[in-house]
Order: sequence, then structure tokens, then C-alpha cells
Amino acid sequence: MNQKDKELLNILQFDFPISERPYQEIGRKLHLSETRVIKQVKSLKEQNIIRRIGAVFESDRVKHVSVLVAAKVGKDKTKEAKAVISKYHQITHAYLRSHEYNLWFTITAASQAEILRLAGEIKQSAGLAELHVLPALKKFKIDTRFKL
Amino acid sequence: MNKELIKKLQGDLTVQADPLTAEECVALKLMLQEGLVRRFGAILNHREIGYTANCMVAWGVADSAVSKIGEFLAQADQVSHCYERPRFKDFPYNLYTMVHGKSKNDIIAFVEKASKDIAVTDYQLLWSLVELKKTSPKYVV
Repeated sequence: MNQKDKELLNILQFDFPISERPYQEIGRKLHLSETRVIKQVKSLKEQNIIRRIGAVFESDRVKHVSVLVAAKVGKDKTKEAKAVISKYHQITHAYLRSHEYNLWFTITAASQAEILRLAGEIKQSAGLAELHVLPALKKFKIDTRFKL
Repeated sequence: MNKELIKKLQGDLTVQADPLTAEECVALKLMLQEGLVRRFGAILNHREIGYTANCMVAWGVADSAVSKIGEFLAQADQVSHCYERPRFKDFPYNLYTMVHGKSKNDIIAFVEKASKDIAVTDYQLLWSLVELKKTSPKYVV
């Protein structure tokens, strides 16, 4: 990644123009043509550096609840758990972590009741030994942008 | 609520000269103003830009100090998420921070310094061993 790419990624993350020709505007800032910017953005996506371009919604404002779930999965059952998790679009992040509670994932759904229902279902079908639903009591920060 | 637009924006916009129409631009600006949309732009894969280590650090903090400490930890660039959550069985920690670094040592150094700054020595490092899934929420299906 060169300096120009870094500048581009910073603009794409922190200052994406909301206009009909955003890449033209970005090009003006970087002294690049619109075509050149589009080509570069496509390449950054192909390299998997850009995961997606879109909006991040405030889940409670779009009437959704989001929780973290801590669970225990047997070492021999992680493949099964992964397969179950992949089936639920409501599960957005899932990790195996270095702790007795070794499976952690997030569920986003339209209501608390829906979350509890899904959690119960997943616990059963993935054969999880223990599961705890952890709502956010207070959010101090959510910012996944990285200044380059 | 504009369901079609939410559906479009929760996904990945095609990289083309005109990803959004004039009407969609106006609607998106309103959604940002109203706080429906927190931000708009590119979401990166942090692993691909050198932040290969990531650790969920759970802190055991006195209830009366959670807000002050939460706000303090939230200021750090290394912390992407900082939430208060309930304690549960065999897990007496109530403040969660997602910490990113270029190496494990970076993260350990950050956590040790933070621990001194906030005078909390009761914490757990939960390293991510395997990423099973990473997508974006779908509000309109």
C-alpha cells in the first residue's frame, strides 16, 4: 500500500462524499481522475482491504437489539457450531476465544424476545454447554475506522 | 423508514461513478442527521491493514466507576468498542473493550498501561483464536 492508497482509504472511511459522483469529488482532493479513483477502489476491494462500502446503522434507531453471547463449546464441536452460526444472518460476528467461555458471538434482531428465542435455538442445535446473553447496558464507543 | 434504501445501504454499494441517486443522497443525509445511520463510507478489514492482533479485554470495575472508566478507555485509538455489560456466572467482568494492535505485544503493553491508568487489576484477555464469522447486520431482509 502506497501513500496515495492510504490517503484514499482515509477519505473513504472518514470523509466519503454523499453525492451523485463521489469518486469524482475524491479525485479532486487527490488530483486523480474519477476513473483512476474507481479503479483504485476496485483494486482495494479485490485485495480484501475494503470489506464493504455502505452505511453503519444505529441498531436501536432502526428498531433492533444487539447483544453479545458468551458460550462454551466442546473442542470437538466447533465445526458443528460454525455450521450452525453460518446459517443465521442475525449472527454477525463470531469468534473462538482463549477462555473457558470459548465461543463469543453477536446477535442482532428485531426484539429481545427474538434474541432469546434465537439464542435458545442456537444453543440446542450447536450443542453448546452453556450460554449467556449479554446486552449492552451502556455504550461508550463504537468506531471501527482506522486512520492510516 | 425507507426499507429499499436501508436494504441497499446495509450491503455493499457497487463501485461505479454514481453509486447513489440524487434522491438517495438526500435520504441518506437525513438518516445521518437523525442518527439512524451512524456513519457512511468504507469499512476495512483491519487484518489486511496490519492490525493482525485483536483481543477482547473484559475488566472488573466497581459499578460506581464504570462510566468514568468506560469513557476514559473509549478515548484510546486502539479501542474500537467499549461497552458495559452484565456480569455472569464465573465471569465477574462488566466492562468490555475490543483492542486492536499490530502484534500481541502491542496489545499487552496497551492493557498493562491502561490497567495502571484506571487502577483496575482485575481483567481478562480473551484473544481471538478463530474468526468463525464476520458480516454486517441485515435490518431489512
